[in-house]
Amino acid sequence: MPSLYWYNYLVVVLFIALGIGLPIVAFALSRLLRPKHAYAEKTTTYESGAEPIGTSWVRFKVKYYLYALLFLVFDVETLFLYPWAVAFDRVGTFALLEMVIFLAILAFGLFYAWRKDVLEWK
Amino acid sequence: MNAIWLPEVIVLAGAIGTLAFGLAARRSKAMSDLAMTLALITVVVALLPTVGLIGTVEEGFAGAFRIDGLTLAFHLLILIGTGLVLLIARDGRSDGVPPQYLAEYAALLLFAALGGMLIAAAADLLLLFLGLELLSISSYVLVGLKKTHLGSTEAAMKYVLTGATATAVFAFGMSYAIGLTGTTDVYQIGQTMADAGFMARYGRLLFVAFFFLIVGAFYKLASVPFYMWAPDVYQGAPTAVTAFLATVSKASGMALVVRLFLGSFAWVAWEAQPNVIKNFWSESTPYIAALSALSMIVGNVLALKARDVKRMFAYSSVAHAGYLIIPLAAVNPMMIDQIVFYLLAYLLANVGIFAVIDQVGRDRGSYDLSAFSGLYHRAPLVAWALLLFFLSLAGIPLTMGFFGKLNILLGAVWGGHFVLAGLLVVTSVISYVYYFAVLKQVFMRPGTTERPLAFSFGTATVIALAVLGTLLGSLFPGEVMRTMQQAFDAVQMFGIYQGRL
Repeated sequence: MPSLYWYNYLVVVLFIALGIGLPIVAFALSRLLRPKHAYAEKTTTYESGAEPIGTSWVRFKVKYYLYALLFLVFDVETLFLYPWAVAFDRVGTFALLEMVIFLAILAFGLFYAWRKDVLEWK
Repeated sequence: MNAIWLPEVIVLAGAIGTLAFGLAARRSKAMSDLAMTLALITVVVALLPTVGLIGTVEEGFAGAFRIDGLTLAFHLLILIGTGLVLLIARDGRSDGVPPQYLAEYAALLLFAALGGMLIAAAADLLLLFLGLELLSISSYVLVGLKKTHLGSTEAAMKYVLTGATATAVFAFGMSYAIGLTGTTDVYQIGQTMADAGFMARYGRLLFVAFFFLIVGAFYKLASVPFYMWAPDVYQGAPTAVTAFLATVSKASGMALVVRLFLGSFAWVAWEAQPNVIKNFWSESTPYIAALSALSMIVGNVLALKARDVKRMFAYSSVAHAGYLIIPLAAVNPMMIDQIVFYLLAYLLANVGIFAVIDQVGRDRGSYDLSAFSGLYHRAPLVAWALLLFFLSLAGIPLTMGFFGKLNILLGAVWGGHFVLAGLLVVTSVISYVYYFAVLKQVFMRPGTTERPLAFSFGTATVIALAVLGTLLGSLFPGEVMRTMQQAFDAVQMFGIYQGRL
């Protein structure tokens, strides 16, 4: 049944058309419907946020990366815990022991970060 | 069932323990000094089960983790190297590394060593990659440990960026090898490639995979053309870390390339055209030989211009990478013996020299050649030790380095690579020039001061041990080689296939 095979591609084409079409239609419609009162405040980056001062080409504190690193601890933890939990019946106590060691190492990482005052925003 | 994972587990536990100790002792400076000692004890304790495992060939974790002669030989190299580096680091802690990072310094050295040990023990691409990353990421941090020192920060930045690129290339090569063969096991990849018709269909892609893979390893070896990071990184890093990169990191890279090349690729043969049988190693040999030849030439020639001793040793390390690759190009039954023996000679001489560089550099505040002037009058014994190390590195006859080079030379001739053998001799002669430039400063130039230079306990121990090892290897090279062959019976070529073919 070659025609059925091609139908599958039709669905893909349909989705591509929808994906391109929807934003075009949405933006066009909103352009037609919205009120137009352009004044200076409307053109700032964050209309209701803090006033931007100067350019964005300045040095700023990269404290966030530490949080990204800490997030990784939990991320990796989930990644390994989930398949382990699903297959728990079959993998037995040895895997339980392994998982305890694994969690202990990760927990130590978090503990270390905590004691090193990484969680303090300075 | 032996506890084949014991050395790794001890190093891991020691590294975590050192970190925890650093936390507990962070308020007291005297206590945090002990972190280095703790790491040192860890290395010594890890050496015991490693020695105890000698002679075992065993696999664990579904064949991903393999202990054989190759693994154990490299484990010993890595542990001995790390122990000596820790001794240098322990005394050289005033070398710009902020005191509050001492525990992390020690722990990171252990983590990096653990990465190297994993590489040596891995028979699975994923575990190899894990070990490579553990080693690399720890090294990046180690290089940048002198936080307030501009050169160190620059070095760390360059090392991270180029290293990440090399890792990405390695991972890309891995994806081809795994994708085409459908397995991550190093030996299994070789067996799948040997299937009839496989190489005829996918041969070219597997060559691509192979060359991408060895980029990752050759980057760690600092061979041409992946050596550009070496001078800046060697110069900027704390001296102990430089010693680590030059010895342990290089040994790990060698373990990686040996396991990959011999485990997966080298012996695959296929029928390219009817009645024309090709095999992988003879096809890949010209490229590896070219990289080796270029490394020897470029490293030795660039070192001639260096005035900074650490920079000079970066180029010298490139040259030695070239020598070490020769056995891979000239495939012969003794190739692993040649590599391990040469690595041992190189490691001992290099660690000894870096111990002296560290002490002199801290005393004079400079790593320029002239900092070494008059050293003979300031510390005659150390000057003689330095002479021994340099002679060994340069490969002057009747030193350990000479026998190492001789083995490699004979292997190259055996493998039919007369050009490489010739280049080995010629470039070694070139290397005399810059090695003797240092010795000239030490023995024949008057220094600005005649004040005796006191060597601290750890540095003196490193120098003494390195002298002992080098002398042993120089006086009894045959015995050392035979002991090595008996202890790690699998260091002989075909041992690394024991139980797998």
